[in-house]
Amino acid sequence: MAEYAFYPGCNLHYPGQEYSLSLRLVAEKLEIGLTEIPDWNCCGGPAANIIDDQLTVDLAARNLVLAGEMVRDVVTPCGLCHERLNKARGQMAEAPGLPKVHNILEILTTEEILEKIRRMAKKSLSGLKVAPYYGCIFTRAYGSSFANSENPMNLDWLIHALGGEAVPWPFKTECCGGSLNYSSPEISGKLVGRLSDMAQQCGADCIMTVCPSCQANLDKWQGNRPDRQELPIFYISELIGLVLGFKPRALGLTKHQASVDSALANVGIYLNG
Amino acid sequence: MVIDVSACFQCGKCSAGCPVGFAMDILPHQIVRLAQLAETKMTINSEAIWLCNSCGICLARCPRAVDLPKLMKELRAEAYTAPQAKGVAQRDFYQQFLAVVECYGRVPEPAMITTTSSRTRKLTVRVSKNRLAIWLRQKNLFKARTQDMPMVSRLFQQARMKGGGKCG
Repeated sequence: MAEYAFYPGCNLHYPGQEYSLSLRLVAEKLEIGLTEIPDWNCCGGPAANIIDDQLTVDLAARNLVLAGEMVRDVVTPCGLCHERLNKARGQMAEAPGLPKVHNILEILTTEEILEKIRRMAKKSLSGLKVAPYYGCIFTRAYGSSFANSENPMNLDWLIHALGGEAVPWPFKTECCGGSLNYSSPEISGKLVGRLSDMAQQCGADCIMTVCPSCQANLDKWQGNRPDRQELPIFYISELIGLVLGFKPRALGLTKHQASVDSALANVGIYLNG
Repeated sequence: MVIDVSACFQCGKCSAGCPVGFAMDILPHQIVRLAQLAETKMTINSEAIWLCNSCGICLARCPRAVDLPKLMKELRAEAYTAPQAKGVAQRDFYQQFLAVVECYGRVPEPAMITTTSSRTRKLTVRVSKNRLAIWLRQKNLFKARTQDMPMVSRLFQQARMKGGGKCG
């Protein structure tokens, strides 16, 4: 069993609790040990580096030191946290025993784990057309391991392993405007609308994302356009969880804003079932 | 400025691919051109630097590897305390974000959207009913915070001592 020090990031504790819930269940089932870094703190997010570069490094570094005490590599589901932790790691090169930092997608899409998912599958997403969405920073973050930052394939592989159909579309890594959410909601709203429209034009029934900020942004603000259809926005761990046989409620699927019912009913999964 | 902008030959790929280019007053390739000319006043006072999401698509596509996200970030840092700078709402957001981190060590979502902005004195509340209902069902909304706050405070103190009042 692979053991990691888990850095959830603020998003998973607050707006993205569904992600946290489903990820824990799925990881346990797939025998990936995720132990939360005790007493972790915010990585500095989008704000600290505007104020002071050292503060950004220091905030992230405290988490790396705590993880180092656990003698485990760090895994985080958030693209921005991944970048901040990795940058801090680069700055602390002289400190011995620093853990490596991975993103959750690398861990969940190894050939070994994909095979495990296929083997343990209780249900299939057969017939469900899923638009794979990575968000912007995930593939382009400092220290990221993706060979192609505009056409990554990890989510496509995962969707196939789940029995679904990965829809080819041009906005795999296009920005959703999440960080403008508070200051310029009309602009981030436009970006959200653009993504949702494009996914629908390409024939997707839903969007699957790995980035917690993107899910929060897309799920929350799609509904601002009453004349357009909303797409369900799933976290990767939710769809993996459904295929592994977990109940939708246990995975937190009832907490979504954009309705997930009809997309799931297509593959024979019912929210109250 | 530490970013080498001299390599840019103004192909405009960055501006063409920028997801928020449509809302910018100065386009990304123009920002680089102004940096080449050391014309910082215009860029510091632009709206564009506050609209950049640091999504990195410009750098990923740049044939000359000009680190435009970093340039934008440096300009924001410089503009943060500049009197004529725009981006009031975005600066509020940063300030609010850091105030919450300094207080809780983490960013509880409710704290982010109900804090009073120190700049505009406006109470910002942007929450849907659905979200509010989810929060109300949770008992320990603010409890999950960092315990070792003296350590977090120390990091902020250090930044404040050398940072010329940017930390608030």
